[in-house]
Amino acid sequence: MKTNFLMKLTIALLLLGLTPAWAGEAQITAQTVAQDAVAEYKTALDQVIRSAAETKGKFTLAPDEATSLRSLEYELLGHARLGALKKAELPVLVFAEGKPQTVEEVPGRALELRLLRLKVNPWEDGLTNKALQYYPEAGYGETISFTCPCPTNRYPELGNFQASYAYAMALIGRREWVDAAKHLTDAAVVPGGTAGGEWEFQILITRAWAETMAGDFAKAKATLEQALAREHQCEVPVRGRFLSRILGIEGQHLAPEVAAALPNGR
Amino acid sequence: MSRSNGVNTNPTENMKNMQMRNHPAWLSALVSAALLLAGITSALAQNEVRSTDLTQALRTFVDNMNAARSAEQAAHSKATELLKAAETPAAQLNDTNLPPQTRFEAHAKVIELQKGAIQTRLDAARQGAKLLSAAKDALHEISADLGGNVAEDLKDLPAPEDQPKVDARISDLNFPADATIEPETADALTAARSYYDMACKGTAKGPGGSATFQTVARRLKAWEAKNRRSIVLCDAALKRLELAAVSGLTSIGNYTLDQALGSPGNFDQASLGLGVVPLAPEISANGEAASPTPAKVSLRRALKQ
Repeated sequence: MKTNFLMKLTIALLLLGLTPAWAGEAQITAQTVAQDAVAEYKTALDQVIRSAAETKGKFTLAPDEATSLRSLEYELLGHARLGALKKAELPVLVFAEGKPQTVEEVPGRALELRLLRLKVNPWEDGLTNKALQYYPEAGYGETISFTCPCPTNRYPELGNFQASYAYAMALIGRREWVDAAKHLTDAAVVPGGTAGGEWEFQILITRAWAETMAGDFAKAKATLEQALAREHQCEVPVRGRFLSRILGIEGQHLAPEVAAALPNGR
Repeated sequence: MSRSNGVNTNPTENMKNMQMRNHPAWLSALVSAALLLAGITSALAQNEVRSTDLTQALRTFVDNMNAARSAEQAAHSKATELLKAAETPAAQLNDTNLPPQTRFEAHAKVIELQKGAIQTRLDAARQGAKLLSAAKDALHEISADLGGNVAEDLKDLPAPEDQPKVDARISDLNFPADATIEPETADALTAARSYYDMACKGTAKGPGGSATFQTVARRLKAWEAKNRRSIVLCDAALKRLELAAVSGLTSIGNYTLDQALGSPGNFDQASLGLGVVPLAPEISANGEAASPTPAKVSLRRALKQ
């Protein structure tokens, strides 16, 4: 008898639980279905990012997947234009907000847009106009001062790390990721290293981002791990921590609002 | 209650206890059913309230606009009638062959009819201001209810004209030349693009959202401005009419005085006794203010008659 009572009580409680759910179902509005589309798009894009991060070589995207993403973007834009979605509720739209140049760029572009939405620029390395010092030879000697150079289209001379940096940043401006990564590698090679190591550290993070944009997440992970392993007298910037979490590098904490931009499960 | 070893052996008592034990389950089931019913009713009612609100706002808007238009049309018709009616006394007023008293009375009639016409228009315009204000409130309500305020966000959305370009270049995404997609995916893209195109056609950039709303709001605004101008014009016309009557009193005073002085025998005490007839032949039929020195008819002469 007691079991019977408990069973009935359980059913009653279940019914109580279902009541608001059922009642809520009647309130399907334009806003709620638009939110469903947002969730679907975010899930699809998260899946693309996760696949890219787990790919050993270069990431590729099936034409069907790209088309489906684009379809969802159209739907979301339509919802927004009809007032069912506010601009703030729209997720970043990979195609609508400036088409990626290559398929490989899709996940990187999604991540870049998500960070930009949070007012974090993945290409802002904090070195601009900064006075730095480097050692001409490893381990000892007087430091030489230099200022972070501006981006330039002049091709760098071999071994000129500053010129390599300036050229690499111009390539980033032109969104030529592979070449940019190559020149950033040269830029991080300072004869005796810089004082404090911030130059190399930030440049390696930028290179990891360039490799991510090129769809080579495996290489990006190796670069970022190399950066984090270096001695550096500055804290890991948000762009670095965010990328670390994407690439599955442990030990980097993010503010909740930045963590919310990560794909599910990261 | 008899108990042995903690077990109730009385069948009646046992039944009662069973009923007691069953009661909470029955009660909770009843409560849950009641809550379920209440939940559904509430949810349905909530939806209904929203649509009722919107319908009510739409009805308020249409009713007020119609009422304002009807009031304006009725006032216009009535004013036209009154002004038409004023034509006969106006003709008498200008007929110098008629005795002054008749002309005074005619002029009084003209003033009265003109004043009536202007007052009718003024009343209608004042009433219209209230109705148009209510219509505007209802329009704001509808706009807000349909997410009109959201349209403010549209200005930051990617421009509609850029979107087809994105599609035109989507095949450039270094896909292999022979890359294909499923027919369902292609259909989904076509359908989504059509939906987007439709949404773009139905909306406009900037506040106000839909083009229809913007048009209606613009017209309502123009109507309100026109109504405001009507009120000020009618008010000014009434004041002019009063001034004209005063100036007319002066002129007709001179006229009647001249008439009276010229022909004392014709002095009509009764006409002066009316006193309430501040009339002047110089007042134009269309309500324009009379010339300040139009006294061409002697009061004396008038008083003689």
